[in-house]
Amino acid sequence: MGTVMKQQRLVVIGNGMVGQKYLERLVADELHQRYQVTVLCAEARPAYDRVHLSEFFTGRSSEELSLVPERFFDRHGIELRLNEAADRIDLENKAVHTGKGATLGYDKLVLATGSYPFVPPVPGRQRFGCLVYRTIEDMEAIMAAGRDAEVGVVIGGGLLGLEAAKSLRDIGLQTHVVEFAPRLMAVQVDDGGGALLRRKIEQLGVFVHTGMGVTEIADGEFYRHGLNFAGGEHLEADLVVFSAGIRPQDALARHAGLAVGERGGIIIDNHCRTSDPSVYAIGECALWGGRIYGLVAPGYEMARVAADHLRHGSVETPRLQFTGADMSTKLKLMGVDVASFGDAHASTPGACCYRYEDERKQVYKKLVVSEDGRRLLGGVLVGDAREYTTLLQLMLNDMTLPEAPEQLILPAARSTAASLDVTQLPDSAILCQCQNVSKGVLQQAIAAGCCDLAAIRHGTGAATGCGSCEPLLRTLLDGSETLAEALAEVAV
Amino acid sequence: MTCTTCPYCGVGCGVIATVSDDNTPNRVRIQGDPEHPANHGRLCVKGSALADTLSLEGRLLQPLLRDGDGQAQSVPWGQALDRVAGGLRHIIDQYGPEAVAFYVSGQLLTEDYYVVNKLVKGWLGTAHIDTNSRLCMSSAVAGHKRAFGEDLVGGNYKDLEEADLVVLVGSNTAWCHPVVYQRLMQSRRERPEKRIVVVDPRRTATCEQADLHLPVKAGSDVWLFNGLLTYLEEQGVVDAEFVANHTGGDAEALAAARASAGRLEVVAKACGVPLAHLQTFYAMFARTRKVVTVFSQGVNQSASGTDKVNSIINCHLLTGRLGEPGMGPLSITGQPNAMGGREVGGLANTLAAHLELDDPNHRQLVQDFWKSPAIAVKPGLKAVDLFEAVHDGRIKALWIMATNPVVSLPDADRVREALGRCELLVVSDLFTDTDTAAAAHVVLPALGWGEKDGTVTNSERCLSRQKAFLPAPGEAKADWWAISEVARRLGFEGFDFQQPHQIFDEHARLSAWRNDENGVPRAFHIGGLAGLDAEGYNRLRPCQWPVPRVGESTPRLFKNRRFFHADGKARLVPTPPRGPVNAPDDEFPLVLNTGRIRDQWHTMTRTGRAPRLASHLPEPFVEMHPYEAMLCGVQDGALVRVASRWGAMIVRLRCTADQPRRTLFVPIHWNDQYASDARVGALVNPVVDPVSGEPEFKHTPASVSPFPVDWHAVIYSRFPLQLDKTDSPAYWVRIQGDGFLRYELAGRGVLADPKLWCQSLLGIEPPSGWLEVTQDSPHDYCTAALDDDRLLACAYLSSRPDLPSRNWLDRLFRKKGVVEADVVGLKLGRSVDPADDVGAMVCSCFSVGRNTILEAIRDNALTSVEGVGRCVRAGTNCGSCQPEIRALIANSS
Repeated sequence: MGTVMKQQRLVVIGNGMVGQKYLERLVADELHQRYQVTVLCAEARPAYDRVHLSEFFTGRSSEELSLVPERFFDRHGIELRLNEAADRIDLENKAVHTGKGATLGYDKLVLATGSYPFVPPVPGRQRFGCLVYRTIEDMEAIMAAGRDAEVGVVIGGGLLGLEAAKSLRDIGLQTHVVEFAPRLMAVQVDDGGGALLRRKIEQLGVFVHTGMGVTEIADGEFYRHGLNFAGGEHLEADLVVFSAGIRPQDALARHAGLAVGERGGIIIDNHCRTSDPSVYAIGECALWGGRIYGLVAPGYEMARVAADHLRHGSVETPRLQFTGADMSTKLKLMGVDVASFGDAHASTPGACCYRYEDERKQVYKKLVVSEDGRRLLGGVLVGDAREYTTLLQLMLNDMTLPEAPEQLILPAARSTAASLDVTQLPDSAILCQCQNVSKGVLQQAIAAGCCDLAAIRHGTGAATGCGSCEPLLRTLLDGSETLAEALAEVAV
Repeated sequence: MTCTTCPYCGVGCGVIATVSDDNTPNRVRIQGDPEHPANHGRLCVKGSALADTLSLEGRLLQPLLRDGDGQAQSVPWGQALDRVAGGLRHIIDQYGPEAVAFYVSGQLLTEDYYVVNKLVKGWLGTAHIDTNSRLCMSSAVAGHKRAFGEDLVGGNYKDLEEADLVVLVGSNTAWCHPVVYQRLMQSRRERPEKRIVVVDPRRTATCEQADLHLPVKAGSDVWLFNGLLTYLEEQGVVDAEFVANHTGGDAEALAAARASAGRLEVVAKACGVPLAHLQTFYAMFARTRKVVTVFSQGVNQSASGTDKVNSIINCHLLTGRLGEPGMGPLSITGQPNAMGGREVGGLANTLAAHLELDDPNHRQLVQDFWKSPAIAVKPGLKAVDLFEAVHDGRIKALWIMATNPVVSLPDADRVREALGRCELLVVSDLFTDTDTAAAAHVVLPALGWGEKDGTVTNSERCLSRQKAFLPAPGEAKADWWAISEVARRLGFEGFDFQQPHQIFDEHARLSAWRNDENGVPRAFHIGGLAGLDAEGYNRLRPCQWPVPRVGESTPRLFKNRRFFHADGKARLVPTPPRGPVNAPDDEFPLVLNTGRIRDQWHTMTRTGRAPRLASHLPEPFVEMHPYEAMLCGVQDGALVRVASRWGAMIVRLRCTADQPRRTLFVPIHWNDQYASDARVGALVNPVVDPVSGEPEFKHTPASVSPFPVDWHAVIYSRFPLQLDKTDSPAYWVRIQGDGFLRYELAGRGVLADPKLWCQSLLGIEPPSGWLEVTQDSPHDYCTAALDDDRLLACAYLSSRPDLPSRNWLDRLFRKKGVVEADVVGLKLGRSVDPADDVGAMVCSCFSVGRNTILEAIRDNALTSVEGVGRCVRAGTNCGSCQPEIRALIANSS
């Protein structure tokens, strides 16, 4: 307390996953000592894990979903103002006016306002029991509305829509998913993968309707709502959840006069700076290279970049830059593994595909390779995504593919494929995408005595996000064990 | 070697019992009878464990008289019979015969049933005799009568094998009729194109292998089948010739169906099932000629049970799908002799030999045959009304045989209260320690399975022998003998039976008596079995009635399309749907459903004594959807209070998404002998079907709330603990082990002296003293007692429910000699060998635990139930755990 450095004021608007990651970086770099930090949070509780929000329905409490270590704000002297949204930003006077009438001056401002769910402008969208899927409050509203409901419909068959469908099924509703596109998860998977995903999800008791656009929600004859569709179809439900994509929460920035994209999003540069050099924007509210990144890993990367710039920007060249992010994803949707990476739709000129499908075991795999067959450009895995980590590394590190790349997805070749990975990767290879942990860092940690997954998690933060890098970490651990054993033998 | 019949469910499997000469405890060996048409050698886990239930421990060996203070005294038979006859005479003289009632059981043999029915309806001249079959089968009986003119199950188990589509309605066949289920599954393995649909609110083990599961709302079945009837007509799937020439009532039935279920959307809403699934089911039914619809308690135990039965039969009549191989409605009964009881007229509204009380010709026929002084002229009181009449004093004397109504009837606390008001309560049973016998003035020692001798009829009309292969213990006697003795003491003639074959002969002759076109033609005709002498009776092989002539057997009825209404036609019955009588409300928002579990039978008086049957699901429980549990604020695995307007119970919560929202499931088995407060009958609403009088066991509005406790304990003992009513802990369950008893306990408040409490409860003075460990918390206490290397007892007490592994302790108590490592383990409260925990019991037949199976799956990369069976034997005997094994395989892949 009381150091001269602390005179600088930093205001962070938003305490979502990315906003919290930014605060963690501040603390890690001891920037909270240099800045008097104030965080505005429109929600009633500090940052929580939105990625695992659906676990709210399987009994995980809002406390358990929290991403904020106990007494985090107290310990680091960061002021958190819950239930207090920013109303207006005054760029000229460097001040933020809050919804509760307070005015906070700042030297630096970080916008981590995130996004809001897009609700298509259909008549009846505001009827009772028509909800969205974004916050814990939304979950609570779904639970309350689900108490007396029998049938639920999710509008939107994307990643989040299927998560929402899982939640409705978990609370015991007859569940439908309606998707405007001709397949589920249209962004991530191709037709083959989408068809298999659909079959698997239908087997789990969720009804899937694709190629259907809702035009109106009115009173139902048998259930609370009657949904009418462009093709004349009709579906009834007690509960409607919209999950038709997200839109950046950029209203504050727009009104303040910051540059925003044509279709929304606060424009940022490679250091996450907005058009006002004192203001940063990170996460889903930010637009970089004309693109919104709706995943948590790029958001975390922006948080790191913005914090790095705050630390170094005024005196030297910052080390980190945001230059776009890989949008690869691997997830388990209702127990179904789905992964999509790189150029999943083979839109690169000259790209060629390998496909493997087993209808009996319900597995679909596709590799997209460069014209010469030497580089992996992307792929889709549905039903079994065990190769994801290996393939992703091959792609991200631009490694040369084996003579017969199809071996990478054929069942018999699994062990060979797995053995390709860790040793051949450069030290700079990022093994944990969420927390941005490289192979080099992990090896150092292991050498320093992190001998199991838990220790690695604690020591490096790796595998604390989506967890898809766990198998790689295990091989890394096993490898070092073999090494240690070998050394021990030599010593004897 | 004795060929006999299993005494449990209505499948009626043939059993071969072999008794060895030595007097070892395991002297009886049980096998399936390969020659029996019901099971072809298969047995389920309960049947396989029959030998474990034959111990004489706790058996009543002499008649008991209880005086005014409740003191029981053993007396000779003569004195007991005099007391019964004298008491009956006194009450009849004072209040008339209508003040006397009998409540009997589907556990009785046909011969016992015949004699008691004869006494009541022919000599006492009343019809106040009802049976626990009222609780399970009476809706099927009433439905059959309305449709066919007689209580007839046309098909047989083989039809299930030959069918291309089997619809299982309200039947957890995999658990409740395992052998029938095995046969069905076997036929499906042979013909994978065969389809199976399960209609059941719960996702039971039976659904595991089904092509389609329709989780209908409790009580909505009539909408489902009315919808099907309408659909079939609309699609033109009608056997017009059959309907025109062999049925009546189709227009009315169709009109009622259309009015209530004319639109698929209406049916989907009423049943709470997705429209698409409904369409799939209807289309499947419409296009499949060889379809069997199996129905059981989920259909019968409802205030609209009879209509449900007819709504099902209507669909088969409209399409002419019955009377040929692989098709027809098939009622599966819950008890070994439910059908035998129906044949002799054991229900209050039937007479005898499928003849009706309300028909004067029928009454005359029976009275002529019996040469009886009287004949009942009006139907007697059905079970629920009968006990209500006991409660309000209209009935003064009640004789209960082979059933436990204080546990099994609805509003069971009121039943207990009613019994307390009885002037004369006689109970015939094997044991004194049943909730019902506890209230009796006279308890008569009956014969158990393996001791009694007679016949039973299973669900497919197969009549087979239950034979004695063990001597009668003590003074125990056949029920027919006790009834005949009382009848003689009342001065009645016609009861001088010496042997069961004499009774069977009379029954067979009555079935044939004037059973022709000139008399009263009826399907039930076993004249071909009349005249058997003792030896012929003994050699009687299973056969399916009718048996009009010697050596005949009738596997299938209705082949000639002849039915038993006066015009020889069947009837479609209009069934306007009605919801359950008591709807959930704010106070009781959930729907309580009840039923059986895999390894127990009825009120556990026999199966509760078999250690291997206790291991699968050892504690009473309530199942509910995890989301519903969240809404109710209750935790999986914790104790909860389940309450209805009629009563309450304390059980453990099992959360499972197999249980639909807003519903509960509680097993029917536990009672005051095995748990502190787990009689679900006390909660069940005393609501009955207006036609059949069968109670609505499957739908009672109820609530669930937490039952907080301060400590948890598990106690192992070689002797029963003295848990007296006033001072017992808030919760206890007794579980039979192999040579020991295990008690799960929980209580409120602080135990002042856990050491004293445990040791006085165990009530032993161990020769080598107590082994003790006390930790810091006042509730964390552990003690054990050894006699040399044999464990005598142990107790663990904790403020958290984190007590030691029961499977491990079970094994320590079965172990021949405990070693030092075990003693260390006892002190630690866990095995020192982590491989020691086989996990929760899955396969009761071979005692294979969950962990063992998971390990085998992992280590050998197993992908099939057969593979698991080859590795660890699990699932290879009765097969009833196969659905669970399949789930383990699925989850571990």
